[in-house]
Amino acid sequence: MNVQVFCSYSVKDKILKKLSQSDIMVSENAKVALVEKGLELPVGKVSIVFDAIDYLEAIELLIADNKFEDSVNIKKDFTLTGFANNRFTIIKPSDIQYIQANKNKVYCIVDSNEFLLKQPLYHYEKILATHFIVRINKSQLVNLMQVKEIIPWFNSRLVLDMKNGERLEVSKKFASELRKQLGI
Amino acid sequence: MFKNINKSAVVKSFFLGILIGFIIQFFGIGFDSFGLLILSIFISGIIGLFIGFVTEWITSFLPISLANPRMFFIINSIIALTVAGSIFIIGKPFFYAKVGSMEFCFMISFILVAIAFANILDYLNYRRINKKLLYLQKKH
Repeated sequence: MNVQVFCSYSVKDKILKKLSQSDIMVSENAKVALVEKGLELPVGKVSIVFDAIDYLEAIELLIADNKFEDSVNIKKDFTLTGFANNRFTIIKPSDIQYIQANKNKVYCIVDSNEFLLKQPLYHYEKILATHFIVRINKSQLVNLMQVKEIIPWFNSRLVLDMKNGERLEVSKKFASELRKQLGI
Repeated sequence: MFKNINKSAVVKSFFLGILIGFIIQFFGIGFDSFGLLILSIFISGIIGLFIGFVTEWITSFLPISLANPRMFFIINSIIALTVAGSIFIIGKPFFYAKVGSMEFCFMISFILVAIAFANILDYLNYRRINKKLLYLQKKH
């Protein structure tokens, strides 16, 4: 991550020293600027304004954001572990058709095979959101990449025709959220 | 029993009934007083509410195993024709006396055109949502 610093001489050395200890480089071409309160905000940059007394907090914010970016990149190689037929299997999010909760257990369906997952449904809803796996009703998450067709149905419901031949129902509550996901 | 009914759709049917009742006034029914005019528009709203409720209730029983685009539009059209046909049968003695057969046929045609327009909008929406899905899948 690159950042440009606008501050008074009294804190400049301290800030530069702190930034050099993390992975954050100081550059004039950076899109993000750290600006001390009272100084003019640079044009065309995202500015983080800080009080001279709180410069450490501002730097910690930058470091935390930098670590988050790295974790998002790691999530692109993210996999799940499912259990079936007395063995564990590594599952890629792109292979998942849908995930469903049934009688306090959570199952992941991949090519008509069912794998038992460990965590509750809301956990997978959070971590798989970036992989286009969305909630369609109280007990199911679906992978939008595995949907063949979206069929309109009565009572504001939608029906998803999956590539593996199955049909899943989107309840009216989640139908509007699905439309938002698709940008409608 | 009424869990799956979309209440907002039923409310929209009421307002659609009001709108149709208002437009039908221009077909020359000619009520003698303003109060009767308002009452007739309100009654149209009630009819719309009733039709909307019955439609939502009946369609809530349809299983998703029947779901495909063709079935959705066929059922929609059947509902529309049933509604228009019922209005024709029930309203015929009253409206023939008031406005004559020609104006009555225009009214029914107007209702059918409105319903066909709504169906076309539904179809365009269906095409749009699937195009968005395809675009999302191709992009990623």
